Amino acid sequence: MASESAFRILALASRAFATADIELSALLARIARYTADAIGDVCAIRFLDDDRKFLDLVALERKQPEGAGLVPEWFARTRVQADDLGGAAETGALDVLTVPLRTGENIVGNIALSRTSPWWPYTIDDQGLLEELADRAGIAIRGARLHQELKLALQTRDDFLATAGHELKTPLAAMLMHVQSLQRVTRRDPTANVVDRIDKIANSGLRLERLVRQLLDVSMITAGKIRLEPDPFDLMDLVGDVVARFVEASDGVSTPISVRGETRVDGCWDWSRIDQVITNLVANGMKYGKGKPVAIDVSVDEGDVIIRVIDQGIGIDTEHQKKLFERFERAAATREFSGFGLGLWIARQIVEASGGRVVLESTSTDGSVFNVRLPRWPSNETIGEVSHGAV
Amino acid sequence: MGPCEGCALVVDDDNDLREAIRDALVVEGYDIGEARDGQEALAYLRSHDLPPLILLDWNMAPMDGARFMAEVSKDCALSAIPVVLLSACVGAAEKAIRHGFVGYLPKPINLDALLSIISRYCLMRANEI
Repeated sequence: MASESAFRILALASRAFATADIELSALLARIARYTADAIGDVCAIRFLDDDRKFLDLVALERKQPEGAGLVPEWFARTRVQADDLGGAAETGALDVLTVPLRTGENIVGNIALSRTSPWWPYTIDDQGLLEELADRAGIAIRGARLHQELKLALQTRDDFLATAGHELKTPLAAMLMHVQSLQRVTRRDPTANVVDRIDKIANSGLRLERLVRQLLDVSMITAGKIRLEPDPFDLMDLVGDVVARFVEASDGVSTPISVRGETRVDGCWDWSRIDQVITNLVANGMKYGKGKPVAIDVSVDEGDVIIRVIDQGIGIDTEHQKKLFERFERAAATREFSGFGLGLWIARQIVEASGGRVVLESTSTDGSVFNVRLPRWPSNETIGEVSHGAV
Repeated sequence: MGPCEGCALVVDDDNDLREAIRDALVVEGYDIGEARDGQEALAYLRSHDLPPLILLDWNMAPMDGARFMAEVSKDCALSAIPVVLLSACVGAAEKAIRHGFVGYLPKPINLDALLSIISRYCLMRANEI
């Protein structure tokens, strides 16, 4: 490849990639097509998966019409081992070139080229040119990814606002219906017995208050404004309180909650925040638990306490497990279960700030187990602010 | 709930709101049947005397308002029952026209407007007349 021509190819590539459709898939197709045309004959772009074990094919383009010849089977494979850079090493083929794809400092995948026919080996110049092209592609891909992430974040926010509006409106609608009705009733008969209806208004008010508190928690956690105030206490007292509250709220008729394991676990935590964690996990278990019993199992492991919340509910599918503790994320279809989908995210923020961690221990169609591990006597270093900077 | 002649059916998946609507209508002298979603509503309709009016929420699970209306339209007897849409969604009025509702009440529901609709279709309990 003459250097003049290489220079021209790079200059054109910079323009082609920079003006490419900002949609990532369209950009990748354009990069692959341009590279195939420039150096020939078939270009594959692969991205590393989250665990960096596999490379997944994200674009495959041929030079037209010359690239219509035979492509090695492995070259077009949708998934290959990350340590096998597209099979080139395996075959020792000279008609294959593979270079890493970087966005900034990180290797995110690779770009591979293969000649079809006539057989025509790549040169060291070709490799240099592909590396240069890969660098330009990396910058463009980074831009497209950022754009995509931003779009997704905006979409998530809009979806959340719509859900939040609906969630807040429903208890409000119930309250206003009762209030309008009581206005009519008491105008007709000022002595009418309305105690029962007022209780219902109060319940709807409490439901609204819980929703608003969740929203405020999210905004405070995001801004890093919630500080933990740890005090020594027996965790089992707190667990007892949480259970009693659920039993009281349901008049003892809905999901049974049992407590097992330790009878006393002293430690130093922020009572109201840990209360919130256990409440959120139990509420979650009850919400998805199909009315079947929820168990809280408390055990001690050296300096840590382990709280497991076990339900016999619908389970969580693999796709949603990863996103479970993220903000505004909810595995089940939106309308079947009410709520913001913020409970688990808030729980995680508090647990991590308390020096512990919360994981989904197991899940199946027979139910899920959430596992919270908290240091009993955390040092100052392990206690952080409840803060989640990234938006 | 046993069969009751002339009682309107309220279909909403939010227990508190459904109960509030029921309480408000009961003290005004109407008998009310309840269902949590389209499926329950269909089961109710097949096991009770047909109500003179259905008040229907739109976003429900498992069976939402759209699917309920589609099911009802397949059955001559059921499709003759007037249905009023209760919805907090944008575009509810347009939905109401498209899906054959006789009326639409935005949430939060104005009780006077609800009573005015109810009185057009439902008789009060005998002892209230």
